[in-house]
Amino acid sequence: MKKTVIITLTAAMTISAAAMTVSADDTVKIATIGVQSGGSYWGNIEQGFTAACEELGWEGDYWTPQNAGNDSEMVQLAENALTQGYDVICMEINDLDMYGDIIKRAKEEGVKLISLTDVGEENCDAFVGIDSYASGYSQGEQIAKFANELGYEEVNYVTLMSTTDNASQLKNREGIAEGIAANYDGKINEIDIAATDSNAATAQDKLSALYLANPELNAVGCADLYGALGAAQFVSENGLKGEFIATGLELTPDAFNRVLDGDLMATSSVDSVGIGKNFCYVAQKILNGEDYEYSNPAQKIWVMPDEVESYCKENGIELQ
Amino acid sequence: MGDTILEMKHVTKKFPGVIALNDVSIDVKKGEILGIVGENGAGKSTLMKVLSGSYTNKEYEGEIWIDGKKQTFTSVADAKKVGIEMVYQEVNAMYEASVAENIFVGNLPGSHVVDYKMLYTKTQELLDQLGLEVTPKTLAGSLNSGQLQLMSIVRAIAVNPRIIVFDEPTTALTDSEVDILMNFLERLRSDGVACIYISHKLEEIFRICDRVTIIRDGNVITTGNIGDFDQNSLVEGMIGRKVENMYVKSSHKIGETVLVVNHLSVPHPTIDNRNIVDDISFSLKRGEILGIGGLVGAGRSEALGAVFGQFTKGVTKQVKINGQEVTINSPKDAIKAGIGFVTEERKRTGFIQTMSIRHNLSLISLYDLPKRYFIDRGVEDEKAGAIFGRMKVKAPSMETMVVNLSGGNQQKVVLGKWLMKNPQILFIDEPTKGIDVGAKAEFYKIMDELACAGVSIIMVSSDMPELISMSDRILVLSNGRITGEFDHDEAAQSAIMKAAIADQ
Amino acid sequence: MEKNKKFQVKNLLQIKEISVILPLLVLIIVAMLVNPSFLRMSNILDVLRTSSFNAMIAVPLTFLMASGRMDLSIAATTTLGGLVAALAETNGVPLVFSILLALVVGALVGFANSILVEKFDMPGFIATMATSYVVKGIASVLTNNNPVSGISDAFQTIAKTRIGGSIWITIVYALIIGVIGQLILSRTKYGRSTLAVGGNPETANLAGIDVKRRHSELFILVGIFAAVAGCLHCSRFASAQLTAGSGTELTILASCIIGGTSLRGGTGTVTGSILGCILFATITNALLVMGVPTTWQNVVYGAILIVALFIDIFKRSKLAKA
Repeated sequence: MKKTVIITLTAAMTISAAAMTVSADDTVKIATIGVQSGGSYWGNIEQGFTAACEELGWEGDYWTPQNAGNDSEMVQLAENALTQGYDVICMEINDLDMYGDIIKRAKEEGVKLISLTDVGEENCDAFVGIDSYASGYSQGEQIAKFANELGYEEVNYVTLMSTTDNASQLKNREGIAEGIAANYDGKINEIDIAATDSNAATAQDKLSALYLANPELNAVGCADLYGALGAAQFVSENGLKGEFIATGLELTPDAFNRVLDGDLMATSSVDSVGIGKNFCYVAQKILNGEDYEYSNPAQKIWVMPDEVESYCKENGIELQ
Repeated sequence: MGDTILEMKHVTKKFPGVIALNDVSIDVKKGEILGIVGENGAGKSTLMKVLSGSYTNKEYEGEIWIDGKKQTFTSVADAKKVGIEMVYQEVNAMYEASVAENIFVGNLPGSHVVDYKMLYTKTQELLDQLGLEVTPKTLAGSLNSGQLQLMSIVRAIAVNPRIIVFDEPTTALTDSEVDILMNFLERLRSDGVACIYISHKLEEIFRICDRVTIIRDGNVITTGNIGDFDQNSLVEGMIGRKVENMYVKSSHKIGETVLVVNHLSVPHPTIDNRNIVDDISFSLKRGEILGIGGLVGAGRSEALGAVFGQFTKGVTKQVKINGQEVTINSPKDAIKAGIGFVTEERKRTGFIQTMSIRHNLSLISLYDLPKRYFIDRGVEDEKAGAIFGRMKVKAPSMETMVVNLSGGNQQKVVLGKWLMKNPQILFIDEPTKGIDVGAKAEFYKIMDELACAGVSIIMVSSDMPELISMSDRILVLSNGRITGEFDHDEAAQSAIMKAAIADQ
Repeated sequence: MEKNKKFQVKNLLQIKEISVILPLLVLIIVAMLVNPSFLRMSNILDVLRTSSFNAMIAVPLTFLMASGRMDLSIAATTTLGGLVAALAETNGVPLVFSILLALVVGALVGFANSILVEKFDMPGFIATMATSYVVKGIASVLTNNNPVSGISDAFQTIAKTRIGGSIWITIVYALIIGVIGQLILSRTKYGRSTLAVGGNPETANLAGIDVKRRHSELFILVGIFAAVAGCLHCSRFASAQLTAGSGTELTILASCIIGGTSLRGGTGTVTGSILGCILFATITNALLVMGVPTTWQNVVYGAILIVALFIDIFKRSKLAKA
């Protein structure tokens, strides 16, 4: 009797010890390299990513460059992740030339790459994120819809971007242009593009100046959050509610208030929390050898003025 | 003495609003040393810039003749080509390169690759000629300022020039190095090289020059054989008036003890566990000028700085003013206790380069001016103007920047800012370093006036005649300790020197 | 006639701020000719408003730079100041105390800078850059990387008010601060001694001015005003952004330099710095109003700055010869 107890105990201990080491070895290490820390978009991605890692019991790390959006720093971070033996790396591949070495090394070492931009199956294992073009196209559709409703004779707009050389935002811009073109029959003219430097004040100042130079300006396409905020402020200060098309890129109380005030005609966002979660879910499928979709674009959600109340109620957002 | 080798004829150089040189002519013969003396700003440097080709021949009127041929210099290189070399007061050296490389920069031996063996041999020969005891491979950066100056002289003679201009070459030299230079100048003279020697130190002019030219306000006052002048006539020529005695010392009452410093010790700035000032005590009476003599590095400036609160780290001291013990942890404390400090290095610690004369003068008394926050410009003008007049600062107005003044006038501003504060005790470190004779005399006069008015002065000086003539009492420091004390009447150069090198 | 003309040019060069004024005037004239609507009141007020945010920091920064120090943490402090005020206010702290709290935080950042630079003798450039990362980091931690919205209407009026329905109140703030700043720098004992500290710290110390203390005071002052700018930013957009003030540190620094404040200390005018801020805001605005193609804007922007610097060099050489 005594003996059996000891044997059972020993066995149990051995097994559990073994199980522990196995699980330590098996813990998936996954790194997400964000473009910046902060902001509702990246904050949400981090939030979703962290939640999913916890759910799956994975070791997940969210890293960002010291200077937001600095590609060479992000490449450096990716190299660190490769060296430190992460199994999966999720990042925004903005430039195939710059990230070429990372892609090559990841392939050689069997590390899975998930990209936020669609760089093709030959370059990464999966695409999880915003299809910049599709997102822009969706905004273009909305602008066209409003232009038709307002009976515009022509659409004269500017596109606001963080910096005018940002690759994914340039795709977004292309999407906006084609989204408008496909849904609006009148004359369309993109007057200019302008950089916001990720600063709402700069966005507003530039929009004001452009409006002065081009009084025919009647819409704005926004590829960055701060551009949308600056545009809302511009509309508000110049008394252009209802005659100037600007749409938001956030589903935050601030953005909803702007929509209710009429500064923005609508606001939208992709399910960015979902992107963060999807990093892990897609990675899990890849690691387990299951079938998976290469392309996983996030859903774009539009909220019109009359939908604000119900949306907020559904999602527990309080408007002050 | 041989034929005339260099003639500068009727040189006139104008700057906007100023005639720097007015029809100046000089000549130098082979194997002759011509001294040029004059106050700062008299035009000596401008004349030498004309000669060295720093001004092109279109920027001035007049002619330069060498060996009876008229020259047109358009650059410094042109002047070098005909054998003119300059030795300046401020040395330009490549501190990371060896002495040999510094000397032969520009004409290193060897056709494509530097022939270092040849370089070092040639350098050694030149160093031996001068008697400079450094090796060719020594890095220039490790030389002291005197050795650097001698190196720049070797650099000038390395190209076998026919005319060498020495512009204040001895400022950085020790007495023995001055001897080396003087011997070397004798040699150049016997080798038939023509030299122009510019110096404020008249004893050097008398010691080495054959002839002397006096320049004042851009004009040649006179040129003559050195034997025709004595110290007074030279100074008179330079400043344009008679000088009875440069050192003014009127008899006045010396009162009770004002300042007592006990057990002052200051740690050595670079050597651990050693004091640069080692437990000295001294006192100062009302209206007394206490001179402090000694060699450079004896700890004289450090002693003054430590009492004044400029240095505090590791300093131990007890200071009593009018019998009351005072705590001085910063210059602010010292000023409050009634002490002023004219430091040795004007540029670094004396005045503020970005400010006008007026602003510099009122700097220390700023918070004494009426009104709590604002500067009462009327009162400031009045007070600073009074000092400006009293110091006889030579400047167009009080709005002139101090950097644009000559050394002597800068020094007057530095002293003036303390006079405006009217301290009871005044420290003066090397009062007349690098200033011309005229300004010197004026400076001594003011010091004497101050002493008569009851201000107590401690003066650190390396200028022996100044120390002996101006001090009521002299302390000599050597290695941070007091090694001698002399009254005005018993002070003699030799005794002071002996004390200065004692305990070495 | 000829002589008279020369005299005037020389007189022009006597103006300390000429290297800002000249390009500014030329730019205004060119912009006006290309597009007359540049001179529309609403546009001018927009430009002045943009300048006013930067000027708010440029004024104390002029003092700091004149004293021989600089601060690269201003933009980060702007961000943090706005966030602190917004967080406090949205959590029920009365408006006045929320803003005071932000100012205290700004002062603390300045104090941290002064400890690093004055007590530990770190080079100001790197030390304040390091501080700026820490400050940005604290802003992220405090807000979990989300902007703070929902501030009260009273808070919003601080920057959104338009006097007489047109003049932005921040322009008035900047003007008041500028006038006071210029008076202090040029007319008071504090200003004079600050310039002395920058001109030659060693001499100033021997003249009884506490140099390190002066630097510390000014670091703190700059921190406070950076936080003020942050509060105004927050008020303007009704929410505290994590990128408020983003990228302005170099613009503000450059505004001061181009306005005649030396990086080495000892010289500086508040008027020049404010004009510098206006110049930068005008360049950005004018290029867009004139319709300069986006791709060319950076080229023109840089070229205008180089011209301004050339005028400065020309002025110095002329004055030195005179």
